[in-house]
Amino acid sequence: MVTAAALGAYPPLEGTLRPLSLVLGGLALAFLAAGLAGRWTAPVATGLTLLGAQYAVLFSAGPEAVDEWTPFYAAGFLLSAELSFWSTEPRVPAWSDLEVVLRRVGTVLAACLGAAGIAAVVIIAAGASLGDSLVAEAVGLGSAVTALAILAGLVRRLR
Amino acid sequence: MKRAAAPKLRVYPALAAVGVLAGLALGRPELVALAAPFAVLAAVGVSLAQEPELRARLVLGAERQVEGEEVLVEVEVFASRSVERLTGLLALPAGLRTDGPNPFFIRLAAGERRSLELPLECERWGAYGVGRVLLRAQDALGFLVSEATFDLQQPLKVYPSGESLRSLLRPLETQVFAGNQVARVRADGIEFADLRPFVPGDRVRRVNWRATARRGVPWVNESHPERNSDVVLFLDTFAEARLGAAGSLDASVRAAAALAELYLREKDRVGLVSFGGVLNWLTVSSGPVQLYRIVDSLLDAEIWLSYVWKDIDVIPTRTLPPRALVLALTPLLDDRAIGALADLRTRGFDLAIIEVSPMPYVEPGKTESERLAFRVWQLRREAIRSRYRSLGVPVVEWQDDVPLEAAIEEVRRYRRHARTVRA
Repeated sequence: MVTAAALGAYPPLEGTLRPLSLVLGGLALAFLAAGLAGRWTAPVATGLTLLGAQYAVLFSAGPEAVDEWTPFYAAGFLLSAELSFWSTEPRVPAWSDLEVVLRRVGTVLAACLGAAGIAAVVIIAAGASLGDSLVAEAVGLGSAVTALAILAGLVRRLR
Repeated sequence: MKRAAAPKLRVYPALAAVGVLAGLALGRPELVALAAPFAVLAAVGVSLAQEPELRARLVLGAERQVEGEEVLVEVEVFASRSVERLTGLLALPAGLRTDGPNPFFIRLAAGERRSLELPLECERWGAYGVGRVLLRAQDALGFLVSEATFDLQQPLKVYPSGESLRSLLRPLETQVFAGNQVARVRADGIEFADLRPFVPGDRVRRVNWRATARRGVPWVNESHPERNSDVVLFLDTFAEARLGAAGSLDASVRAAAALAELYLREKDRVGLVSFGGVLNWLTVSSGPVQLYRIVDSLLDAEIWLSYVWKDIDVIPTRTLPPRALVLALTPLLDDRAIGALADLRTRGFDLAIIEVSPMPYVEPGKTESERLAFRVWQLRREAIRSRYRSLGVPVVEWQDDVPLEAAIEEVRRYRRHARTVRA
């Protein structure tokens, strides 16, 4: 929740869209809090989506320049998601090896570092000059759709 | 083994898709950068996740144990592939508990065997099946959950911890076999009974020389023989009073086990009639094997709710041998058992009733009408006791926290002073 609150407070938006940004941030935190309290995944997912939407509002009316803090935001966003889903897992008062918890914390932190790296790569790639041709845009769109389709296929096969 | 996707696996690709599409729509790489890690993480998690092929083994330290003691259980888990997070649970039936690592949460390397020792505390007597192990494995990134249940049930018999008794209730009449009880009849034995004049056929070694010298004619000693007796433990299983983990049936079973043990040690023959919704019986017999039979039969004793009217005609005749002492352990809650015991007495059986009191398990109630009902119920119970006493049957109220010895002594005192009525 602390991570989500920090992320919600991040977009420094001024102007007409500021109330919308604040509402989205507040709603995101409320959904996350409800999800964590009731251990429901649906409100958690909604809260994360609203948090992302709040970040998107920043760019719909924000500066044209690329946000250089995006890798850190991405790491925080993933950390928030990971910790939220960890909290909603069925919890039993079990005797446990300390090593298991430490390894999990390590895995989450490594994932967040990885997320920052991936986000940085995406931002750098977006800044590279490849020309503003329609073909390049079509290739980009096709790649994104194909990547998502492959992921959806993998998930469906497992389910 | 059942494999399922964690909720995260549905949400992460969805977040990635929304982020990428929003990024494309707005033309902002930041949103794609935000979504990409979710897509990559889900793809990596799904690609790396493998079925762990879990195995479990269970070793039970003992097949038999006495109530209140501990049995050590060893649960061994094995996985052919590495399991980052494994949650295990040995499902325990009510009556067994452990303070050991159950449930447990561990990590298993590929091919690793891990043993966990669980000391099981046998809280209540009974016949149990121990060994249902539930395992839940999660991959490193938490996208997939595999669950497996292993039915490795092994029998565990928990015998009731009977209290030690020093003396027993003796039947009015003994049987013809040798035992430890001094019979009322006169025959060859050790215990001196009386003197009488010598008659042809008497053995010379039985002549009492002092009495003969004093009287001038031969007198002989008479003695009481040592015989055994038949005891039938009558367990009323129609109904019980229960409050939480404790109940009147538990007390009855413990008392029956203690009585059977001591009677058998005294070379008596002991039988068991469990009279309730289901009728169980053991014909009278002696020896250590009979003790095991009785205790095993007691472990099966439970309350079966039944509205079928039953009287003693349903009890096989040979389970109630003539001249046997019928020692009933009953909470006097069911009219069928109450009627059957009265019927036994009217048929001439030597009957004694230890009333396993339901009072510790009953609360008088809060309202005035509830308290009135409680008092009426108590009066009704007293009327039942009076009815038995009028038939010459000793009824002694016994509570679980009072030594059984005290109840036995009370019955013995009653029988010492009461006139024996023969049918």
